[in-house]
Amino acid sequence: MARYERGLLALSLTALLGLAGWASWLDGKAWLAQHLIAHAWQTTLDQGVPQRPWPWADTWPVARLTTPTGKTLYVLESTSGEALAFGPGRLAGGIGSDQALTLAGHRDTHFAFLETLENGDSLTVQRADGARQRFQVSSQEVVDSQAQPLQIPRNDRQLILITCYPFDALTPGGPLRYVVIAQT
Amino acid sequence: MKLTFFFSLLLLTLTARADWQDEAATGALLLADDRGHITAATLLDTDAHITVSGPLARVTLTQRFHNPSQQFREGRYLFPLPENAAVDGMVLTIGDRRIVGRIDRKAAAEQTYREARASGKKASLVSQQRPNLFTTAVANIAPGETVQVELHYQQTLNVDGHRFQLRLPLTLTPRFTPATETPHPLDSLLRNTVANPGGTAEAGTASVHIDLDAGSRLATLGSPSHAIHSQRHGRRYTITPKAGPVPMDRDLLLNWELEDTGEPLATSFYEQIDGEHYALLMVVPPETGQATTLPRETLFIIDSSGSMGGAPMRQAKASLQLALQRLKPGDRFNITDFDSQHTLLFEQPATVNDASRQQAQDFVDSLQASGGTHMLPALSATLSQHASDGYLRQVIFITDGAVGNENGIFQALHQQLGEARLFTVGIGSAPNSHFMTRAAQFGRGSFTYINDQSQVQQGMDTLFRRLESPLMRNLQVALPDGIVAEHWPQKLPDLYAGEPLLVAMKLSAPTDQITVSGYRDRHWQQQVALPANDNHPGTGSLWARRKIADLMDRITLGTPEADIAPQITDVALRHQLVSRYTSFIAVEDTVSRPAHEPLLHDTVRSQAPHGTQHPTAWPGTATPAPLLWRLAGVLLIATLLLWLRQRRENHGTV
Repeated sequence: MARYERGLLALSLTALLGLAGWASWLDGKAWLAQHLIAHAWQTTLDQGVPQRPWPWADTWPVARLTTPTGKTLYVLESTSGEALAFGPGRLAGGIGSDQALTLAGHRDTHFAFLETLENGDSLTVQRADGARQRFQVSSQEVVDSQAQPLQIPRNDRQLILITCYPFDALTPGGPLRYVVIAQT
Repeated sequence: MKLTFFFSLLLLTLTARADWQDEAATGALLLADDRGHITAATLLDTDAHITVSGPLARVTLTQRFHNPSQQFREGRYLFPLPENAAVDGMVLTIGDRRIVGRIDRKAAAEQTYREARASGKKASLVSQQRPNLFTTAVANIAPGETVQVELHYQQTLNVDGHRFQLRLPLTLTPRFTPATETPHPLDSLLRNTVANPGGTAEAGTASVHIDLDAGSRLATLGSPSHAIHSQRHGRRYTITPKAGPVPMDRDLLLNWELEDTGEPLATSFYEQIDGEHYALLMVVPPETGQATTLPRETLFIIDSSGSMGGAPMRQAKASLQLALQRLKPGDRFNITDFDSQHTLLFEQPATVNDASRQQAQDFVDSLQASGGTHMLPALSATLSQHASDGYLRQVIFITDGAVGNENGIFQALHQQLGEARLFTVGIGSAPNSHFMTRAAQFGRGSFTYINDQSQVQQGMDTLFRRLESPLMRNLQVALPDGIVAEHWPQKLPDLYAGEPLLVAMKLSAPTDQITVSGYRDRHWQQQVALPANDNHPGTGSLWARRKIADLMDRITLGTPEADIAPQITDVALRHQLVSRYTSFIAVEDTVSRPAHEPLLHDTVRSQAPHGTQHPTAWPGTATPAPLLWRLAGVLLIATLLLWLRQRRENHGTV
């Protein structure tokens, strides 16, 4: 009896450590990567060429986003699941494009701050060529990704931020997206 | 790994999207009163004048609307453009006011808009709801007033081999009561009207006049939608509906087919604009006659780097498996797989047979997405394989295009591609379409876009139909001495079954001696007479669009934008095209306006769509971390309870 219970306790403890480890890995990776990317970003600005944050990375920083509270986020080239684990990703727009700069990020890590954005809040984007653009939030919208296609306007004076919605949902993969639009 | 599994789940949910392109309808004028209640203005009549030159159509559409209410109204005109169409001119007449739309420098357009707003005048900014919807706002429509809209657009037609189709949207959009909770009633109405076509035909009729020059004599000409009357003058046909003005209950469709002689058909079109000579050369492949296809050597390159993880990798693998099934016994093939490293399936291209095919299928099955994207060594290794004599080498590159050194790749292609053709297949939610389109152009191939598992079959089918049917290679255009041409594409692709080849040219002088040559199973050559005493509107504009696309590419490839921008602006303004530096604006003519009128200026700005583009897929933007933390919390409590219980039991037994 006692042995059975001891076994159960050990099992439960292992599972607990495993889950907590996995979750910390996801959150920790998101946090740590931004620090490594910060270094790559500085090199990009200094040398003017894209710089991979670590040698085997499949992406590189293309912009720096500053939130209204002064927090900085490094935007990566790619919105693949792998890149988004490390930082928000560029979906469209930016240097050499006439489309709105469109960024996507995880609702539970980098783009959690979108929930608190209000109209008039200002966001700053620094591009890889060093130029800075200041945007003011002009609208926030919840969109059903299965009903509405994502149409990115040809307007390079617009910034579009996309994350999953609702912010406190437990499971990933829902159809809703939270879309924040800001203008220069 | 479990992580990969979760990300795959994320990516799987992104791709469903509504089909917006199939809805056809004619223009509508929507009116809003002070309380935001919306009605549609009565459409009195429609007049369409269409000039078709080969694959191009220029349309002038005039529609008259009536404000049936007892009040001043604010209005919005909507017109769902047919596929591959772009608006380049508009005149709105409201009583004695005129709003004129044209293409202008972006800075100038924005300045006009800002000035109008700053001085307290009512200005409406038009937002783009979908790429194919043209909208413009009209303020202050008086009770009982008539609004006339004159819209100019050009369109590239749907072509399938020798068959061409023109569609003129003539179906009325229904009335619609908008949902009350939306902030701007016009916007929501706009969305809903377009999403719900159909409705009642209660308005006037449409008169249609079509002037058609297909480039040669027609085998058939007819309309599945209307009874038509046609008259021929040389190459030109004049077409009108037999009934005269037709009711607005369905779109007008016109189909025609060129004569098929079993030989490639080369023809040309001409337009003179401000003393400059533009020509369009069209080579239509034959459909009948024995198709002699050369033996082929197909080299696949598949990207299995980390960025392909999840759905993209599944789509890439499915695409490649389909491709393997379609290889013909006796042809040759090989596969290169790359991430940080690259692997060749066979040392040298192998002959297609059951054994090699099986080996390839197993190889593809075992691919896993991980590591970086080191494209250059993989490309070099693939291209440096010894070429088999007499085989047409086709390279098929399946990737999401996440590359940093595009210039390096282009250099490698330049040095190593040689006579091989390059076909790119873009996978995933946001492939680098620009890079892949350009690479395919350079490699005289094509770019196929797949962003959904359901598109794999169709996309690969289309690609393989092309690959399997090269009808003519080494196409060349020769002009008489002393005449020079700037032509697009600069490097002529091969001629494939079912796809006419278009070459847009700007000539230093008109000539009737254009020689087109190529290689089928023997040398082929044809003289084309330029119809220089005729005018084919749209010819110059097609040349200009190709030119702008090329200039935009140069910016991407590193030429300073400041050098290129004036050139683009110049071409775009001259040909009235939307570009990065020019946009469509509508400004009210103030001349005829009475001074006491309360709403003096109405400035509308809208950016007309330029062709169609792929809607982007939504990215997955959440991790399972919140769920994991919650589960961990539950387990923590369970563990504590178990531990306490055990402790108590242990104390009890001691």
